[in-house]
Amino acid sequence: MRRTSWLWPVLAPLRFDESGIGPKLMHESFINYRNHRYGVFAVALCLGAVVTSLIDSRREPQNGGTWLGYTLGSIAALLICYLALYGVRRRSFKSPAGSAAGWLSAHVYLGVAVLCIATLHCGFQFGWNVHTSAFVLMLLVSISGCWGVYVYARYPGLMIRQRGNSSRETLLEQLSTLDRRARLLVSALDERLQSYVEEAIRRTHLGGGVWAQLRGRDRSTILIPDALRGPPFARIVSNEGQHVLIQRLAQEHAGAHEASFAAKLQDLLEVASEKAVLVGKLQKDIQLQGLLQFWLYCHLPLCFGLLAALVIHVLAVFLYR
Amino acid sequence: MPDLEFDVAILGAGPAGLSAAARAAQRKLSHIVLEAGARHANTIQQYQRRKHVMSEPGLLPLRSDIAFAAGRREAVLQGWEDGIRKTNAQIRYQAEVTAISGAKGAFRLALKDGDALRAGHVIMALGVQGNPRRLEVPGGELSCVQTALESADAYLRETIIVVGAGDAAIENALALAVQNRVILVNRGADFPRAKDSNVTRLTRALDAGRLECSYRAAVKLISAAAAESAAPYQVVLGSPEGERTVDCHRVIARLGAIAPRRFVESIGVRFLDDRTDAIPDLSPQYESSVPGLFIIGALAGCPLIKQAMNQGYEVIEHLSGNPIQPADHPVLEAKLRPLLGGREVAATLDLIQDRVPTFAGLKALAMRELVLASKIVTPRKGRRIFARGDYSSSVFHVLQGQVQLEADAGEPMLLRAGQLFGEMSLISGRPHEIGAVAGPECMLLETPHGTIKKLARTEASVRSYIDRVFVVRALRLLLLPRARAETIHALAVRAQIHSISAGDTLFEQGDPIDRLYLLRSGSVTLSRPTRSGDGPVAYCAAGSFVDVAGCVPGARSRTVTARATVAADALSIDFESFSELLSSDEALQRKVQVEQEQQAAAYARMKAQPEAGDVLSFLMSHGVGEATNVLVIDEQLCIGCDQCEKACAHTHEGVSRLNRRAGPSFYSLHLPTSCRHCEHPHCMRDCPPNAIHRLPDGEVFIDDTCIGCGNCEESCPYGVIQMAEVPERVGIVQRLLGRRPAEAAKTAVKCDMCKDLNAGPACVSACPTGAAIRIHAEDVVALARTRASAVR
Ligand SMILES: Cc1cc2nc3c(=O)[nH]c(=O)nc-3n(C[C@H](O)[C@H](O)[C@H](O)COP(=O)(O)OP(=O)(O)OC[C@H]3O[C@@H](n4cnc5c(N)ncnc54)[C@H](O)[C@@H]3O)c2cc1C
Ligand code: HEM
Ligand code: SF4
Ligand code: SF4
Repeated sequence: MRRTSWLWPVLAPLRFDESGIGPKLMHESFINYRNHRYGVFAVALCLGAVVTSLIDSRREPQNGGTWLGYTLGSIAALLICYLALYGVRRRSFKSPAGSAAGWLSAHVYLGVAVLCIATLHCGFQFGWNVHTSAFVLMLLVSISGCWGVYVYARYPGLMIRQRGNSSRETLLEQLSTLDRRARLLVSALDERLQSYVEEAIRRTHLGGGVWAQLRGRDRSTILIPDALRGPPFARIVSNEGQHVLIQRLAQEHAGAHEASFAAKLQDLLEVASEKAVLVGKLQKDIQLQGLLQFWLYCHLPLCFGLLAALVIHVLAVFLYR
Repeated sequence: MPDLEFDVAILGAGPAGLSAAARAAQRKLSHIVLEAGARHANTIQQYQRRKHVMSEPGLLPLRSDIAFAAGRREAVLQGWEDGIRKTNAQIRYQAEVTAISGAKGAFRLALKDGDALRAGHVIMALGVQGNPRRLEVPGGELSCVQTALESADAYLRETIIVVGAGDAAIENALALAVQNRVILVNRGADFPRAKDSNVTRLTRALDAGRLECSYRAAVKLISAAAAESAAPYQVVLGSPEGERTVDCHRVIARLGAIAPRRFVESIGVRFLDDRTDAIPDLSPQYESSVPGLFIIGALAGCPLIKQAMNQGYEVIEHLSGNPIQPADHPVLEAKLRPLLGGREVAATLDLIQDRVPTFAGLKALAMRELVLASKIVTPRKGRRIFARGDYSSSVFHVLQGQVQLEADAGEPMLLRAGQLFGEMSLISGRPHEIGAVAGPECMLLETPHGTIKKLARTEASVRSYIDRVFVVRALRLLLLPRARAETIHALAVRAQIHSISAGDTLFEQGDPIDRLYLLRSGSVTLSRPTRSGDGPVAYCAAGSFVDVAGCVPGARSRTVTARATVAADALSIDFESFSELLSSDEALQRKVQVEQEQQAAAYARMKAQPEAGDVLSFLMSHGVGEATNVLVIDEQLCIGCDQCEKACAHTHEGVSRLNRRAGPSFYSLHLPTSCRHCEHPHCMRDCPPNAIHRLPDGEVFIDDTCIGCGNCEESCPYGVIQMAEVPERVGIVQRLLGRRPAEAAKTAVKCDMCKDLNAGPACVSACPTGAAIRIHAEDVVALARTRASAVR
């Protein structure tokens, strides 16, 4: 049977229980984790630091060089190291050191606490030097972290709602069903329209590179044949929201002489409009999913930068005092 | 022309038949093997190409004139072919035997092609695969019609017609559709026989237009196509819309197999039970109830190749007047050592049967099998055999000494030699309700659930004995801990057992309250029918009383309907006896009152929150009712980072046993495709080497004796078992030294709840946002209620 190692509370300082198999019943987000345990801890830490600083500031003005400055600085540095350890925990899947959600909860609350403690530590002494650059980097890491928390808390729900409770797979299947219907409908019409619809389907664009995903714009295009000069002069134009296709179908519909022909076109128009909505939804979904991940690509490099700056800051303090 | 005559005719050239033939050749018996197929060992020929054939059970020695060792299918088949040549075994191919008449010394065997022959003895080694049903239409015999698919990759850009509506047909059709045009021809309007997961995959593929399906359709005619057509053959399909002709390259008929049992019974062989997986009644020398007719191999209930080959050898030795001990004799002897005390193995087996009433009715052969699959354990006095709350995977019989069962209330129960325990957990699939502690000089027979369940399915005497014990113990433990034995026995004889399948009702709203039901296994939901369907108000798990809240004094009829969410089994006593007991037993009154209060409050709460009822229905309709541990993702928290899958792959040889995206969702609760560790694991039902086990914490896992036969993959209704090649791990240093990982065998892999990690399931502990949790079916009501109030 499973045991949890007694060593771990020592190695993972902020882990008190949590074996992942305990009586943790229902879903609990990293924000609410164990009744905001780490939030309470972080607030207490900050309050303690603020009160001590206030008391101490009557004795001498706050800066990094006082005994309190050293203490706060050490706490902040240790906390930053602990925060960076989360990156290690995230990659060690066999780790018995508590659940990732618990770690993230601690990470987020203590991350904000670091901001407060480091500010008190520096005593608002800024300048154009390595010390301030370490502070600024920390600020940026924290800001990106807060952005991440916002994104995690808000986007999943948003994505469910905007997909209308279906999964992305279902939407993709609906898309291919619509395409099939369009092909079937147009197969009874003339060849020009057939190639038009085929082109619109072929050049429907979802996702793409990083920027395309994040901007979430519909980059679908369509090939417009040049009736006079032939295929080499065909143009590719944007078909955002299927509007070029819809416009063309509407024109044909207006010019239709036969009722059955018009009815087919009407159906095609509906299919194209449905598809436009669906593509929009999928595009948005891809965008939100991209945003859910993108911020971490700012957070992580900034974090490395911060660790480097921190080392320089500490060395500088001790070597060139 | 007079019929040819032989000493022995052997039916089937599988491992059992071949081994018998080789021995007969050595013994200079005139013999003939009659094989329905065109090649030897049809069953093995039909394994997947390059499948790794295992030689389980490892302990058992091989005793045959033909070689067999674990290895590739191709190598094994080649080895047998060489063996046939070397031993000069006589085989006649494409000789399906259709009838056997006569008696010992003069059997007459009729072949499908009209020939007949005579034999003194008949050995049946037909296997259990059965003969595939063929398309009985004009053209059904053409070479483009096949009954199996070896590899879907072999075909490219063909038009292929797949006929059938079972799992095999659907799986073949989906696999072929990747690079071919596929038309699935289904005689019915839907797919009642197929697994839900397959139907879902098919529906998706149909919606996406990846293949076609003709419903209520049938193949009418197959013929060669005209020279100029797109494909070499032409098939006429009939359906309610009329007939149409399709040009195609091949037709794959997956119409199931005709089980050999009917044929075997037609000769007069008696089976032990009516149930489909029952085995024939055989003597220790494998002689059936028809003298002179022997049955060996898979058909005799031995599901592994090595066993089949050993039996082939032994039966010929017996026929040539050289009685030998079966090959498993030393294994059995070693197992029984603590009990032998100078006795013979057979005498010891008799002794066990004399002592243990559960097995009193077993045949000698079944008894051997049972003991081979079991263990004899001798726990020291005071050792805990299992604790209350542990899941179990075995049933125990006391062979010697004593065992003490400790319940919460009432006196501990003392068990003596011959008595059985662990039966509650066997039937309910839930953790033990009581602990068991060894007494002085205790010796136990520990039998895995799989073995005992199979025995109970096929041996009525075992089934009814266990049921009787269960009823008495359950009444005593759950209802009347302080009652006298006579009271309980009087009640037990009037108790009834009800088995209902998923979706059926135990009672309905408005039915008279005439019985008190105790759920033995499975689960039921109680619901009040509303205008929009069923409105569930409660969930009852095995071990609970169903709707005691409705049984308040004066109530005449049920206010709720009790419907099984999965196959369920209940015990009931008539209400009058119960009321009588109630009036005389104060402790019982209190107990019932507490349950009534709890249930009444629960009904009201659920009723006030109809969304919770919807969530509950959703969860139940996806089988959560039988889960002991199911992964549920909160979509409101899931950021789609796939850390859960990565964690699973990382901790399990690089193969994730969880598919996060797949699976149904409702009210932003998502049930990914991942093992639920069912109360009665379907996957354990038919595992030839008994490779699937359950740990005390409930984890169901597969050990490395898996032979890759795919039975469990087929039995799991939730589609969570994959047949995967688990690559060997080779360290980077060894790689640099030029060592390459050995080619991997395809075996069954599934979630094992990270049983070897102290931190518990990696999927849950790796999820950064807390979206992934694992819960027990009992927590389902709580989950439904929090969900219903959490959804914005
Ligand atoms: C996918 C799969 C994988 C497996 N992997 C393993 C493994 O790795 N290791 C292992 O030990 N076991 C494995 N098994 C089990 C093993 O295949 C069987 O236990 C074994 O084949 C049984 O041998 P048998 O001789 O009794 O029957 P079979 O091998 O089934 O042979 C029966 C033969 O009889 C013929 N026959 C049937 N009816 C008639 C008739 N009326 N007239 C004439 N001939 C007839 C059939 O054509 C067939 O050739 C696996 C099973 C499956 C399905
Ligand atoms: C100030 C010092 C901080 C450091 C050194 C730091 C470091 C890290 C590291 C190393 C990771 C892991 C990234 C990965 O493995 O890909 C991470 C992730 C994360 N951090 Fe920070 N962080 C800091 C502050 C913060 C703050 C203040 C917040 C929020 C208030 C925050 C929120 C997050 C979140 C939400 C994640 C992603 C979790 C996940 O998806 O697994 N971080 N951080
Ligand atoms: S593999 Fe399937 S049948 Fe077996 S325990 Fe898991 S979900 Fe149940
Ligand atoms: S780890 Fe958690 S958040 Fe990430 S995909 Fe899995 S369930 Fe969703």
